[in-house]
Amino acid sequence: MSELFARLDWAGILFAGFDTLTMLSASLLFTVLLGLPLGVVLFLSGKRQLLERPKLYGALSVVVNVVRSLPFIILLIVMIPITVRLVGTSLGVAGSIPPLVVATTPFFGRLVESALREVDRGVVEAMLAAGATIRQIVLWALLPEALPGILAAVTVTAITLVSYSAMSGVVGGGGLGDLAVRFGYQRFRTDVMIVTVLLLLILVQALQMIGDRLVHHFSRT
Amino acid sequence: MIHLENVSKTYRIGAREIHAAKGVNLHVKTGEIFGVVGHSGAGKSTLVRLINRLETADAGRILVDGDEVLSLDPDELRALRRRVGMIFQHFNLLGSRTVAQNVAIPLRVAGLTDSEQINARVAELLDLVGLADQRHEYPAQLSGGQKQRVGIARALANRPKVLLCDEATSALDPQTTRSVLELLEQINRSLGLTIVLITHEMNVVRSICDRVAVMDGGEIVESGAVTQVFLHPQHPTSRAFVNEAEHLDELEEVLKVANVEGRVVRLTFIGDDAYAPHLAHAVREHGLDFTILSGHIERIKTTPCGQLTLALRGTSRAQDVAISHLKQQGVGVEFLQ
Repeated sequence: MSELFARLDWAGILFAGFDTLTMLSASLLFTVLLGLPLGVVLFLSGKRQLLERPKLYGALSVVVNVVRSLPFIILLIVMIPITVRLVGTSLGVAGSIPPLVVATTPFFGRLVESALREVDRGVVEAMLAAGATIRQIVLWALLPEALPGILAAVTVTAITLVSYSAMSGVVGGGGLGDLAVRFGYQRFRTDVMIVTVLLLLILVQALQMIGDRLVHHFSRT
Repeated sequence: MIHLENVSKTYRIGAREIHAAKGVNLHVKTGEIFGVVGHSGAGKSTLVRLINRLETADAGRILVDGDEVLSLDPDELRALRRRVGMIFQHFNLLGSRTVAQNVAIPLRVAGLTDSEQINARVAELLDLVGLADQRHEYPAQLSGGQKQRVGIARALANRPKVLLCDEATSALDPQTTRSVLELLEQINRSLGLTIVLITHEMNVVRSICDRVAVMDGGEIVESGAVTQVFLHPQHPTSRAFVNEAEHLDELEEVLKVANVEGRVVRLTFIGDDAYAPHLAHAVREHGLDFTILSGHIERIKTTPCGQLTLALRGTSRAQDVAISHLKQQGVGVEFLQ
C-alpha cells in the first residue's frame, strides 16, 4: 500500500488542488455576479410577470439555450480569442476562468429564474399594493424569499464547475481533474488517479454539505 | 372616499371573454365599512383590485381620495397605494422576514430610513394588533389569525385612509374570524379608516358592515344599508345569500310543506322594537291568531332586528285591526300571500 503511493508528488497535488479551488471560487464568484441579474431579468421579462417583455425574454432564452447546448470542451476552444482579450492569455488557470463563467452563467441564470418563480405571487402583490417599486420588490421581497432556492442553485453550479474545471487541462488550466487525466490516465499513474479522484469526491461532498446547511439555515417554513 | 363610475374590466382567455366587471357603479363613504359580497367568480376580487389599480379598468372612472386612479403616472400610483392599505386571504407575508420586518416594509417603501423611527412605529402597530410579543418570530411560527394581524399591522403602517380587505377572514376558523373582524371594527372606529371588505360570507357583512353591495356575474345586482339588504333582499342572489346566512329555507318551500291557506305576512322589527312585546300585545288586544312559519332575532352590526313570517288565522277583521296597529308601532309589514 505505502509502496503504491511512495512516488507521489504531494506538492504537485497540493498545487493542483489549489488551482482547482482558485478556478472554482473565481468562476463561481463571476457566475453569481452575472447570473443573478440574468436570472432576475429572465424572471421579470417572462410571461405574466412584472415587466413582461416577450421579445427580450425570447432573445435571452435563445442565447441561454445556445450556450447551454455547447459542450464545454468546444466552448473552451471557441472562446480562445475572447479569453485572450479578457485576461490576456488563453492558457492556465486565468485562461480557463472566462470559459467556465460563460458556460455556467446561463445555467445558473435559469436556476435563479425558476427559484424566483417559486415565490408566492401574493407576496409580490402585497409589495405592489404597498406602493413598492420593481427594484424594491426584487431586493426586499423576491431575492430574500427565493434565497434558499438560489443557494441550492449556487451549490449545483459549484459542483458543475468542479467537473468542468477538469477539462481546462486542454488549455493548460491545471487542477485536480487535469492531473487525473494527464498522469492518472495518460501515464498510467494509478496512485495519482486514486488520490485526485478522492480529493474531488471530498470537494464535491463538502460543497454539497455546505450548500445544504445554508439552504436549511435560510428556510423559514 | 371611493367612487366607481361605469367601470368595466374584461379578461380574455384564448377566445373566451370574461366580464369581471360590467358597468359597475359604487360609492364608498368616508369612515364606513363597505361590504362586497358575491360567489367566487362574481368579480369581487377584481373589483377591489381596480381600486388600487392592481388591475387596470378598461373603461369608466375611478376616484379614490380625490385621485383619478386611471390617469395616475407610476409615481402617483405608488403614492396612492401608500394611502390605501390592503390585506389578503392568504396573508401574503414575507416568510423570510420576522413579524417586525414585515411590518417595517411599507415604511421603508415610503422612504423611511431612520431605524429608530421605524422601530417605534412598528412597536406601535404591533401593540395595536396585539402582537408585541411575537415581533421577532417568523410568519411560519404564527397561527392564521396572528398572520392576518401582521397583515393588518403592515397595511396600516403608512396611516392609510382606506383599507381593502380581500377575503381577509376566509382562511380562518369562525372564532378567529370573529376576533379579526372585531379588530377591523375597532380600527375603523378609532382611526376613522374607510374599509372595503369583500367576502363570500354574509355573516361577515352582518357583523361589521354598514353598507353592502351584492355582486353577480361582474355586476352589482343590489346595494344598500346592510339592514335593508338583509331584511328585504330584492335580487335572487341577495336572497340566496341572506337565506344561507340565516339558515332559512326558501319561503315557497315552507308554504308548500306547511300547506298554508289564507294570508301570510312577514313582520320586521328593527332597533329596540325587536325586543318590544308588540306581537303579544296584538294577540291580547285584538284577538290576532297565527302560526309562525319562520323567524329569527339577531343583530346586524349593532342594530337588533327580527323577522317573523306568520300565517294569519281568525277573522279577517281582527287581522286587519291587528295589522294596522302593528304598522302604527313601526313594525314593518309585508304580505307574502
